[in-house]
Amino acid sequence: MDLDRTIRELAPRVLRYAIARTGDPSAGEDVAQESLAALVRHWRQAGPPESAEAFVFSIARRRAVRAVVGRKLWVPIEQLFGNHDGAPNPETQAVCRAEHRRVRAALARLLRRDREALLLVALGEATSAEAAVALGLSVSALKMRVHRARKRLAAELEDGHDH
Amino acid sequence: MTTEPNGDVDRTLREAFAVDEAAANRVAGEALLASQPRRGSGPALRAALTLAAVVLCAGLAVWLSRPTISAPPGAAARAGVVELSGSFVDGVLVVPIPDDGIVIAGPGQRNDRPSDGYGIVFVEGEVR
Repeated sequence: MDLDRTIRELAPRVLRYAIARTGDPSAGEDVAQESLAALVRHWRQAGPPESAEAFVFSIARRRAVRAVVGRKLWVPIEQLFGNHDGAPNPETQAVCRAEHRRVRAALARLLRRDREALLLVALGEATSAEAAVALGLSVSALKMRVHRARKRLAAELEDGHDH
Repeated sequence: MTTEPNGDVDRTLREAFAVDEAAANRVAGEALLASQPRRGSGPALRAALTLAAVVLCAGLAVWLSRPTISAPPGAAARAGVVELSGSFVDGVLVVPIPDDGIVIAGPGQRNDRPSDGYGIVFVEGEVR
């Protein structure tokens, strides 16, 4: 296995997952970069892990939770100090398309654990086994969550079209 | 009522959260760079730790070799004095002492001694 190739192959998948998970392109990039850097360090010190995907997504998942919590703490402070002109940066504008908002709204209505499983599989393109390791589940439990999430999301998206 | 099959759901998600190649390349490049082993950082760290240890030892030596503060005159005379607490009753200080004895001091009775005698009682503080 080649480290450089593995990192470049994983980067878009982790980035997509992290942006969806944090809801913020900048935070998503940070999470993706830190997770991949952790893999690089591990690889250089102790060799490649059993599954690079499971390794990276486990870390990305934890970092994303931390980023979301951190943002919830910092945003009110920024507002308190007047940093709330409301003008989104170009990156934020790019992701705030109507379709993006519709999908985000539908995702938000899923059960958190189902959403997590779906994001890993659909956006992170992790296999069921890799996602199961990252979430600490059995493969069958993971598959059940993904199936439930897909079904529910499809229904939510359909409802969104109707409204 | 769902009309979007599973594959479509995944595709919809990927399209909604599409990332551009430049961002992915940037993330990959930064990750590979960020975890590069820093050359020369080991010796520098060792030197800093050594310097810190030397400064700490020197500080400790100075602290331990500082001149001791001499005791105020009369402090030695107080060695062996036992502090007791007592209370005023009708202007008379009653101080219980060990072995169930009682020392009585106060206005007009400063020279009293306990019947069995235990030495001198120093009374400090303001008498009201």
